[in-house]
Amino acid sequence: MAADTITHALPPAPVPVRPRTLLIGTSFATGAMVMFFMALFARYFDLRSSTQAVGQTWIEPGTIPLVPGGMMMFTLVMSCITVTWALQAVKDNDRSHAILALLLTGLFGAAVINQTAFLYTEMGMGIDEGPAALMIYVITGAHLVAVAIGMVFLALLAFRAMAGQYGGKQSEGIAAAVIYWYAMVAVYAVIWYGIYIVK
Amino acid sequence: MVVGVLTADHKAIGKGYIAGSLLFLLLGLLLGRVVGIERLDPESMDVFADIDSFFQAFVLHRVGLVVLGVVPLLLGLGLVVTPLQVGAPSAAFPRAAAASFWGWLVGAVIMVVGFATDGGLGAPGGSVDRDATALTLLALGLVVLSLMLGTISLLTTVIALRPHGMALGDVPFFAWSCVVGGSIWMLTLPVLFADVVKAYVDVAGRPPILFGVPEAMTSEFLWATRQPQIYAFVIPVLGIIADVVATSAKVRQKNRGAVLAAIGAFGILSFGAYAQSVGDGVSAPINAVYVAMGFAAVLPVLVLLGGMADTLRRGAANVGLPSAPLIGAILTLLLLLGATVIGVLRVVDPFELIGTSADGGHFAAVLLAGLVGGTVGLQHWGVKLTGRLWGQGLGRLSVLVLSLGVLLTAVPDVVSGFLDQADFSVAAVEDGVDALNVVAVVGGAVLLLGLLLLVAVGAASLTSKVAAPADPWGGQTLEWASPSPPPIGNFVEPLPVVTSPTPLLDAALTEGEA
Repeated sequence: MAADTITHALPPAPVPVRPRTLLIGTSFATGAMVMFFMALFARYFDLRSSTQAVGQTWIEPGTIPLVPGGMMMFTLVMSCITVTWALQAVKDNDRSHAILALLLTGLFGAAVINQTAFLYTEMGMGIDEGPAALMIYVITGAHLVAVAIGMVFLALLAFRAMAGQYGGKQSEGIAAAVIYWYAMVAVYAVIWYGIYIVK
Repeated sequence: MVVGVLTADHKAIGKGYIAGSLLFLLLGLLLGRVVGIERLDPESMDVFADIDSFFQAFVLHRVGLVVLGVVPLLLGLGLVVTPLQVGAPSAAFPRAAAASFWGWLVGAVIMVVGFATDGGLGAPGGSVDRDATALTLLALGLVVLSLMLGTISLLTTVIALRPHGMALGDVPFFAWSCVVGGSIWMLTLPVLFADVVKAYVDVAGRPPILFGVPEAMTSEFLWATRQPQIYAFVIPVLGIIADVVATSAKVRQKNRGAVLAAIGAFGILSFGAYAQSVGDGVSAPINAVYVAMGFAAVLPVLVLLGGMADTLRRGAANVGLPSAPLIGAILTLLLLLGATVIGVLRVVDPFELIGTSADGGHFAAVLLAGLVGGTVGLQHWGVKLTGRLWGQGLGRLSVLVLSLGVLLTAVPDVVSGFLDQADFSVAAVEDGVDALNVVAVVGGAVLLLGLLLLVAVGAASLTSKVAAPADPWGGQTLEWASPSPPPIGNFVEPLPVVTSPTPLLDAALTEGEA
């Protein structure tokens, strides 16, 4: 009788889903950051159009050199590639490449801060020279802070990755950082086109 | 003490927010009455030294009631209740929530100190202390950032920490309204923060040239106290009302989707970041949107009123003597309906009410309705806050007095608006307006009394030696499955399986059938 008994294994218990708190929380924070910059852009473009509508010059030609802004755009595009590389490496359980990509992204972020500081010296525009200068320093300064926050976020994740926290089945933390970083770069794209190119 | 400071328990953090906001609300209402007394005879300057300090108090009253009063009150209530409602053992990012509370508290105190040292957010005569203004702006920025941080914790809790079986559409009404309200806060508070940053950069260290100019600075901020943005700050109150009514009637809410949609629509119609310049001349399309949103804001409140009336009709046999929260919920809904009707009158062009004292009347009607709604929530979930039952007699009196205070404060200002009384003026008031101003001052005193009564109800519950049951109302949602007060981790017994928006009602019915 016993030999005739067919035993069935119970189906495996469902894998507990780890709440994606960091991803969701970071998405809200990123949305808030985007709204913050949208408010600044709206005021910048509103002031510019009202100034130009009465025939006044918004920014004197030649005040803002084009090259540093373009270099920053290029640097940030590169950083998008490396941060995406970091996410993919984590998903592939390739920890060493993930850490390398995160470090490179951080390095690109540091380069952007350096380039912005260089641009400030080249602009030759005091913050109290008028509404245009004030708005440019507010927006670009706030973007520097956004870059710095992203770098701190990446550094924390790099340390966690070194400790083995992230892996193929658990990459939300890196994904959260990637969302923030992409948004920060998108914000810079508006700065680059709207302020540095179109002025 | 150290444990209290370092705690990351969402209930302690929420209670900290509630206690702090009640204190600032008392101070804010008191300041409002002082401003109101000065308005009786503004030419004399009996109370304030000059026009500038009068105006600074006026602005502190408006901005303070929002960011130091009603918003943190509702945020605190949300931090206490929503993790319980979604069956979570803790709030998401509990340390961030704790940082948000302490940041808000420190910022709030510094902000008040900044105002007190002549650092107002603008002054018509241009006489402010620039360094003190920079301090005030810094503090306001910290307050706004902290509120955003707390909101992220609240939102993430509801969205990410729900148990299996509880879809987002199945969360209790208050949790849903926190999602809607929190989302709108996360879209608009950053705009307010951007205004603060602009003004701070302009003020700090050098003579201001644009945003920090004392004569113009206030216009950068007051959009957050006006239509439609002011509606955003009371969105969670809609959820409180719906939860209280359904719990009191002890029946399932019919057309639940319509109630959720109404709360969502009210949230969308309260997005006010685009309307910063309304009143100063905006383009026709923006003005059209502004007017349309003003009219449409009434509809969600009407839908909610219909839904609540139907629920109460079906559950009339279960209600008995109406509880304090139920009376308060009904009154709050009626106050909100009145406030949105005032909002309609305000945007009707021929009335020309924008810029008049009707702005103040509308502000008072909406925000103070939010205050009444917040106190309703405190009484409804009071057992989860203090672990003791809250007195119903005094509780009923407090909501009645508060509601009367709202009417007496808001309606005179709206009527004055029809008499062309400016929102802020130091000119002699017209005949008729002075009498209305007296009524408004009395209304403010009634409001203060109502709030003191509410505080007394809460304090009295703390002295009670009788422990409260887990579920004094026969509730339908998961927060009533936790002991009163909830322990660390919130739940001591396994939660019932969630298959509908009313898991405790399901469990009770199943037991009854068994």
